[in-house]
Formats: sequence, C-alpha cells, structure tokens
Amino acid sequence: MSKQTKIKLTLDILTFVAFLISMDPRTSGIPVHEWLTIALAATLVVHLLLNWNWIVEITNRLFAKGKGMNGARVNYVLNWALFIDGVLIMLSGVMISQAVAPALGFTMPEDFSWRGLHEVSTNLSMLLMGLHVALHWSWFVSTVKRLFARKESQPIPASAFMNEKDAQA
Amino acid sequence: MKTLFRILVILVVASLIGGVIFALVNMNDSASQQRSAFQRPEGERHRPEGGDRDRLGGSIFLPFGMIKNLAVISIIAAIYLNVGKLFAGKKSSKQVNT
Repeated sequence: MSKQTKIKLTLDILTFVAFLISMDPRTSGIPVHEWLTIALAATLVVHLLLNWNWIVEITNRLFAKGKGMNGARVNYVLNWALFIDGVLIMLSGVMISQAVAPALGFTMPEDFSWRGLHEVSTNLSMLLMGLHVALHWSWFVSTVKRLFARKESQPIPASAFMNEKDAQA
Repeated sequence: MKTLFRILVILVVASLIGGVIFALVNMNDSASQQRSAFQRPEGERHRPEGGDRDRLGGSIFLPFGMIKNLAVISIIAAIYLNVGKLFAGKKSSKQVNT
C-alpha cells in the first residue's frame, strides 16, 4: 500500500471524528466547536489535494459525455453539494461566531438569517456525509483490509535466516 | 508550485461560492426588512443546533449528540448501500430472466 493511501485513510478517519465532535457544540463547547471547524476546513483542502487527480479525471470524463458513468456522476454531484454545503457552514458559522471572531477582534452583528442557514446547512451536511461515506465505503473497507492483510502476511526477510557472515557476503 | 496553484483554485472556488451566498443572504435580508415585526427582540439568542449558545463550555462526559450524529450518518449510509444492493440484485435477476 502506498504512503499516500495510508495518509488518505488516516486523514479521512481523523476528519470524520473531528466532524462528529464539531457537529455537537453542546458537548464540545462553542470555542472547540468553532476552532475545530476552522481546522476541519484546512484538512478538507488537504483531502481535496490528495484526491486532485480523481477530481480532474472525473471532470474531464463527464464533460467528454462518457456513457455508463452514473455512479461517478452521482458521486461527483454529491461531492460538489458537500463542498458548497461546507462553504455555507463555514460562512454562516463565521457570521454567528462567538469565539473565533471576537478572538480575532471582529464583532459580528446579530443576524438570524445566518443562524437559520447554519442550522439548515449543518442538518444537510449530515445527510450528505452519510451518502459520502456510503459511496466510499467499499474503498474504505478494502483499504483497511489491505492494511491489515499486509501486516499479517508480511514475508520474513531472507537475511533473518542467514548468519552474520552470509548476510555480509 | 503545482500544489500552491491547486490550493489557490480551491480557495478561489470557495470564495466565489461564499460570495454568492453572502450576496443572496444580504439581498434576502434587505427585502425582508419590512417584515421586521417578525424579528426576535434584541438580546434574545438561540443556538440553531439545539444547544444554548450562551453556554460556552462543553461537557465531554455526555457525548449523546455525537453518538446521535454518528447513528444518523450510519443509518443514511446503510440505507443507501442496501437500496443500491437491492437495485443491483433486481437488475441482475432481470438479466438472468431475459
């Protein structure tokens, strides 16, 4: 398994855990909720960078009017929806911020339309995240299986059976 | 250099989307200013996710919200996967019949 796949897997798991924590401000508290979500935005940029080749490939294939790409098309549309929803969550979150904005010296006006948008977009993100996990579930399972299978059946190096002289020769 | 360009592309796209959303919300706000009678009184605040926004601290001992969110996401994913399998099964049985 390549190093990049391992990084992808680790980052995806950590992002998902951070997403769960940040989605529950009652447990984490507002400062953790806000700062963690900002950190999540940075990890999402890294997530997009790691999957950049896939994004470019699928975009090119979709615009080339390829047939038999329904699965990829659904995935593509869903990823865009998730990205737009992420931007909406971040923007509305910043507009109603109580920890990050004051810490940076900004005072946000009390605006209930942003609050409503934040609520709708966070609820929508749960649905989109569920679908995103479902669409990538087979990749996740196969990658985890490969990771553990490799560790279990790792071949013992030939040098382990040699004495020191043979190994040096 | 390539990575920096890609980061820039992501940020520019995000900024464009954010700009459109911001403009739409502000337009909507200015249009609904006449309906100010429906606005909440000053000082009244509520937390959209169901929490109390004025309470800044959290309680790590009761992560029921997280468990609930995880359950919701799992249920959505499970429904999608099973519906997909159901459709795939119907398709393959149709092909066998024909």
